[in-house]
Amino acid sequence: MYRFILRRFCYMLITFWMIVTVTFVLMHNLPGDPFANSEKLSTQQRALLAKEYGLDQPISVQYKDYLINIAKGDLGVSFAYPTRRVTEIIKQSFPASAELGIESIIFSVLIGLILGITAALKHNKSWDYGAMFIAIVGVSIPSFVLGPILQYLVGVKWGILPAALWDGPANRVLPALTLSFMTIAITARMMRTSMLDVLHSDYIKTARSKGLSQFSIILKHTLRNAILPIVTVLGPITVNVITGTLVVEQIFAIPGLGKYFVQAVYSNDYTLIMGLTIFYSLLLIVVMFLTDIAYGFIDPRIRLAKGRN
Amino acid sequence: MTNAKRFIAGISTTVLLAGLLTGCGGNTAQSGSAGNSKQLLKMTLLAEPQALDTSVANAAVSFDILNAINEGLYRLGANGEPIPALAASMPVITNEGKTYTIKLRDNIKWSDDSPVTAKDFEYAWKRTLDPKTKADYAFMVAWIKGGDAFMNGKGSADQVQVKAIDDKTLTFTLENPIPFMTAQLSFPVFFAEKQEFVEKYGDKYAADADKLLFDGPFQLSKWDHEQSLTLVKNDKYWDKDNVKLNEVDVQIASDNNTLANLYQSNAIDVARITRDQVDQWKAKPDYQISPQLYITYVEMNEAVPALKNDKIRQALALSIDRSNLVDIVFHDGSQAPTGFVPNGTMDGNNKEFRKDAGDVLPKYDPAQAKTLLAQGLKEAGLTSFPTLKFTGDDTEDGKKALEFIQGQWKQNLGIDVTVESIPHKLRIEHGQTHQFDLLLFNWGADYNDPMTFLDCHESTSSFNESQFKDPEYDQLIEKAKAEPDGAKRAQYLVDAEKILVAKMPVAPVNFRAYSYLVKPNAKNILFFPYGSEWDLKNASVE
Repeated sequence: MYRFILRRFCYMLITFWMIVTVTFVLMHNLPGDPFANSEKLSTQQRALLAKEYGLDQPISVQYKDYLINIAKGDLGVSFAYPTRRVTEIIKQSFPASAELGIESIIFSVLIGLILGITAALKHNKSWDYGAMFIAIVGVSIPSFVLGPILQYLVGVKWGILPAALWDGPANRVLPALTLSFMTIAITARMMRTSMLDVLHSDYIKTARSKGLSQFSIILKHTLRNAILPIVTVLGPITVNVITGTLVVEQIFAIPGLGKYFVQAVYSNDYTLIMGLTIFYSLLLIVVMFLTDIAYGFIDPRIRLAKGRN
Repeated sequence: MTNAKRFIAGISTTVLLAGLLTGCGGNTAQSGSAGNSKQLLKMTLLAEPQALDTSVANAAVSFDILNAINEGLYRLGANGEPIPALAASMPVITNEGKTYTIKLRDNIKWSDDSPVTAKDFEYAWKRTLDPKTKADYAFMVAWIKGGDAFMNGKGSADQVQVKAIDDKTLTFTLENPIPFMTAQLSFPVFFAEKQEFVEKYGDKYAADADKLLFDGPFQLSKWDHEQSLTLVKNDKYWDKDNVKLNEVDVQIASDNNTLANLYQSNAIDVARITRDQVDQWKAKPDYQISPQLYITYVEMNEAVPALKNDKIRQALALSIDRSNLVDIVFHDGSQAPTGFVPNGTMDGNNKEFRKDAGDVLPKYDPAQAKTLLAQGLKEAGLTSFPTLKFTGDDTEDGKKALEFIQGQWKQNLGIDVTVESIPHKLRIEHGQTHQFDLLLFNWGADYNDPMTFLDCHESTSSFNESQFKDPEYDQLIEKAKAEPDGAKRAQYLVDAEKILVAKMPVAPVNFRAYSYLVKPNAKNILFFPYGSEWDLKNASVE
């Protein structure tokens, strides 16, 4: 088992190094310079700034320095925000993204499960069609359309919830809802299929013939078995949602990390692009690593098969 | 059964919680009306301020806050005129307009109770020039004798001719006379910094609210990065009696639609809006237009053979219906250009430049353009106009403008261009390396003077992207730069602009404006045409 974990860990490091290298190379091939105000910089000033930032060094030297700094845990200072270190930016901005992601997952699971269960229980009736219609709408309407609609209707027209900003609990509802629509749809459809599978299985028939009430059959025998696939995908979905809050952050003026990513790419903020890529990929890699290990524990076949390679 | 119970309990708790949240929301939204007797104003910034270090700050969002929490020797008034701020009076200018001597006000204090002295200015300006500070706007301080050499790493701080004679007197000598210098001292790059404080925090200076010193109308009490900033009235400010606001809540929101929605739900008192929202608000008292010292033009690269001919360039310029373009593409109070220097730019001699120079840009005239094109092609020895590439930013405005102008050329001149929208950074690089045929270009003023729009067409300028070369033009610009007499200087600049009209190295298409929504009970907020967007010193909420 330890060998298996060690092997996975080495793979993780190699993946990480490859991501860093590829991003570094791609980024330095971006046209234009990373300076915030580049429209206004004369050729002379540009050269001076490049020298001060060490950008006049050959790429190989910059790459070597960067790797050494990462090993020390130093992601450097952002070009656009010269007084802030990249690690600080991540520390200050990630909580909002994470919170929003988690809240939206709660919404998705709750609403998705209810829709899915209703649809399965009322299979091929109008309830089923209704719930699946909502699910399809959820998949098809992108958040940049849904967000402004919710913002205008709920926030401005009806005035029930704040239209945007990030002050109190009430500010969380609309963005979390917007972000959760896609996952609501996924959860609902998965739950419906899996419920239907279980409902048609032999042990449910047995339970019925034992004379158990419909309520007890659903809660005790159906739900517990049908929900398993949802639990399996929840991990990846969570990471996906947390790293994908960008559009929603923009629409609802949320101080999260997603906004920085796009800004950084757009303004060639080398250090910030690298820092965020490293952070996000670490997040994904670690989750994948843990999932692998968890599978290894649950299902020895996986561990053995990979161990032999 | 226990699991099922827990499950149900879990669901009901969360649903209840969601209900509760919704309840709270109702209250928040309703109580969010515009400020009142509390003198609380709710503003927004379009982005997180990059830095609140006066040396390093390089964007309007930073200048807005710096202008509130700090102050220069002068502050701009409603008409852009300099008013003594930390300076006690207007500067004494000698040596043919090159040497300035400025007395500081008594009773000016930093928020740590220490006095603001002339040494704080000398230190700050030299720190800005130091290449290690990496200050984008150092070039303005480099107008001072010895500044350019120090900025470029060739001289030393001691050779820069700015000096605190005593605690209350600052003197500096410029390389050339600059008629707008007094007004420019209101720009954050000319603010004071306290050496001891800056050095105490080093790299972290000005990174957070507690790493800043204040000498302006407000103090920054809270800075939640990328979310909001809170300004409170500065009781140590020399002119605190004229500061009416107790608190300014500044939220950061970048989406224009979001801003309009926040404004409509009373969560903010001021919002900048764009094209799509203008018609809805145009007739209401909330709507205000702030014309900017900002021009958009088409650069025509003279290294391209077809664009080397004056008449062809004029034809391209004359065939664009600018009034229509401004209304269809921008639709935000922007105006059709009448010259190469935007409306509202002062001439350095206390008059508006456009009034001196008049409407010099020839009117939209498709017939004349067609004739000019035919003549030009003949002169250039070409049988037809080649298909050129027309490049611009991939922003919404950028793309719309490109398509509109492409359509005008097709319709009025029968010529084809290929439109190419590319990311901003790439567009800048293409411009500065002259890798383009036709390029849509934006230029905003750094200071309120025609020079900021005219010296970029000098043959030696880093910003002469069209590669326009005209010795007479260069000469006029250089003469204007050295001329101490305001009237003569203004005339040189008027003459220089006339050369641009005749040669048309670039075709102006827009004088930009910003559209704002301002709650009618929010009074005396100043909107500026360059540098900071707004000033709240005398603002109040009724």
